[in-house]
Amino acid sequence: MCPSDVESVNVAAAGSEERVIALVGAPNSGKTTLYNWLTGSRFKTVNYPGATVEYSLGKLAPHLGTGILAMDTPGTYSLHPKSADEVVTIKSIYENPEFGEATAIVVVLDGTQLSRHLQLALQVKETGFPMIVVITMADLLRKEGIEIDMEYLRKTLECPVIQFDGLLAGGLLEIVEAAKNVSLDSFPKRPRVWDFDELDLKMKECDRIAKEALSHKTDHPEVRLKKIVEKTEKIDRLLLHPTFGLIMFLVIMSALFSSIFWLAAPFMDYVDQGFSFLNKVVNDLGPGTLWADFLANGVVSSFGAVLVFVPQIFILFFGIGLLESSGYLARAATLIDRPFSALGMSGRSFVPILSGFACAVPAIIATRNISSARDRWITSFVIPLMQCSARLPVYALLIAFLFHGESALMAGIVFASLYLGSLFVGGLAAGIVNKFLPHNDNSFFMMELPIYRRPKFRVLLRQSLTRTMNYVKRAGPMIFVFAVIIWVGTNFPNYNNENAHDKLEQSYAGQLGKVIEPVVAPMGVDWRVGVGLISAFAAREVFVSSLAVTFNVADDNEDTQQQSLLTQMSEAVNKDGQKVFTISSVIGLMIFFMIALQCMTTVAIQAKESGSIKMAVGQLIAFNVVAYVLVVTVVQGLRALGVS
Amino acid sequence: MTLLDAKLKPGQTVEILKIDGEHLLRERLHEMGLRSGMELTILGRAPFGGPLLVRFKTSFLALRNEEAACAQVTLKA
Repeated sequence: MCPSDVESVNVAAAGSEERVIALVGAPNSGKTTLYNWLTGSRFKTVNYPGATVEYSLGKLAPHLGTGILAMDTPGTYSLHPKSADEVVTIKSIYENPEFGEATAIVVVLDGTQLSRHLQLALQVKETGFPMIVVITMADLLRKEGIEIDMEYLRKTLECPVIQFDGLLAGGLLEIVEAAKNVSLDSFPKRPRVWDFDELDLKMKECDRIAKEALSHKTDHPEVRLKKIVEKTEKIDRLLLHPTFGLIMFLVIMSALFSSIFWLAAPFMDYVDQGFSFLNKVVNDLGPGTLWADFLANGVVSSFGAVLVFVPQIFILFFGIGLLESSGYLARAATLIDRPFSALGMSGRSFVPILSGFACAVPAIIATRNISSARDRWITSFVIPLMQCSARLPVYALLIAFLFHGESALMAGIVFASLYLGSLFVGGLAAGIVNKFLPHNDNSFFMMELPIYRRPKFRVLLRQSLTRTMNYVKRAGPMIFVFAVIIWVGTNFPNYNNENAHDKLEQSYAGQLGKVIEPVVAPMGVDWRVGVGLISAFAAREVFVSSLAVTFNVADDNEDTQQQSLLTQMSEAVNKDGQKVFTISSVIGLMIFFMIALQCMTTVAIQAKESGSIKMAVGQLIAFNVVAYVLVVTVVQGLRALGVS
Repeated sequence: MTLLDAKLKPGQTVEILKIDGEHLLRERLHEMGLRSGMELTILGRAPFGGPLLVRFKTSFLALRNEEAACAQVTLKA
């Protein structure tokens, strides 16, 4: 199951009295912060320079009043779109499927980049849309003693101009007030494309306006503005250094991924112990009854098996959010651009690929930010190979099985090699596709690096928590449904059979497993794991809860659930009396999960984003066939070499 | 010389004389704020011959070789 950051706000077709104000601005200008304050939404959409989902639409937060819808759009430098998500910005303003045309446009300008960002305001002004200009980064300006002449800007731009402080929401009420007063009888035109002479003129005009606005009330504004960027320049000398920067990059990424495992471990223990306790409590409520058995060994076990990984998922989201909001992520993309371009991608692919380690769904959506269609295609093709958080439960269990908690170091190394391995496989796949895909369009990389800012921990915490909860909410129903199916499937038709093995073998799941056994047997596993593999196609993490049920955990209450499952796994034998889980079969399973495309949500998003069902289905078949063939080869090869 | 010239070292400031290249690329460079008369500070290069890093006013930009090669510049200081 994949959590997606696509937050759909249910907006009934906007009534005639509802106004839609569209927030438009360059990447990193602070649109989404303003949007969150306006709508009270605690949501941030995928947000990397320019990457936002199609658009987000939200009603005003209750304390701000009614009658207005706010729309967040992907970042854009101009109204002449050059990448897929800039096209979305224009479309969502002019021909929105929900409401047609926006009522007014709020142009969000970064106060520290005034002269550059004013271009967009001039363009919007030309269209004739009622316009409100919001100047962000007020806190940074204030700190350096810079005061902008707002009255001058109002007169020059002929519209309300409001300063906004993203930290404390200063200016929010004025923005809402201005939105309530916009004219309703405007007939905006389509944006005009400026030729180069005109661009030059407009840019000079922007320079002039910015200079006037800054110098009226501030001495030496340029010197003060420069101070804002000085620190960033100093840090970059280190972090973007050709050798030292690369070492820091590796250290930072290793720190991120190792913290996912080390930092999370104690919390995972708590969750695990909590569910073991719950299991016992539920079992004791009605010992020997069908309903208590169902609740304890079906429902509680299934949820426990998956929710134990919530701490890891939270830390991953938190880590990516931290890098993103501090400004480092764009640097990482720059550092990695060259190696990535050798594989037919670009530094811009880095963030979608990194997000792929959390979940492929928002990651594929984030590829819209890549301006070259070819780069985008290759990037979204390899994203499902990145190890998403749904694989964590599976790996954690299999690695724990291999090392029985004896060697944390070895476990860590195997974890790391799975991640590195997926990068290698992804690189290989990208390289192959790159060879065969025709080279027809030029891509430009050109990326703005935001200034370093101290991340706001409360915002980060809230955001990671929301994303994690989203994951749980989306995974929850799926886990429940499968818990029921698998529990019924493994306990019936002969629930009262005393012999656990016979009971399972004769059950519905057992019968189905027997049918598919010839297919999974070459992978070195038996029909019970086959049942797990099938259920993993609904959601990878269900594999663990399905094993928990098929291998009848919770019949001994001494250990934690995971310990109990591991014991059952190590004792499990197939019909020939051979162990089911051996070194070779477990390695095979890990390889299968590393490569196979089992997430149907990903396939659906892939089809939607690429506009090609053929590509999505082709990918589904290719990845799974490759995974299967590879696993069979590895398992049989290992066995031939004498590895059990 | 172009912005890509090997003679240019980190810390140096250059002025853009002219921007050549494909239409869309030129337009984007313009929109990002790069045009003739602008002064840029060279900050360095990303590893493996990666993008060129420059600062102009309060903005930091990473430009690939192909893009940097479009800008004709002259050394200021």
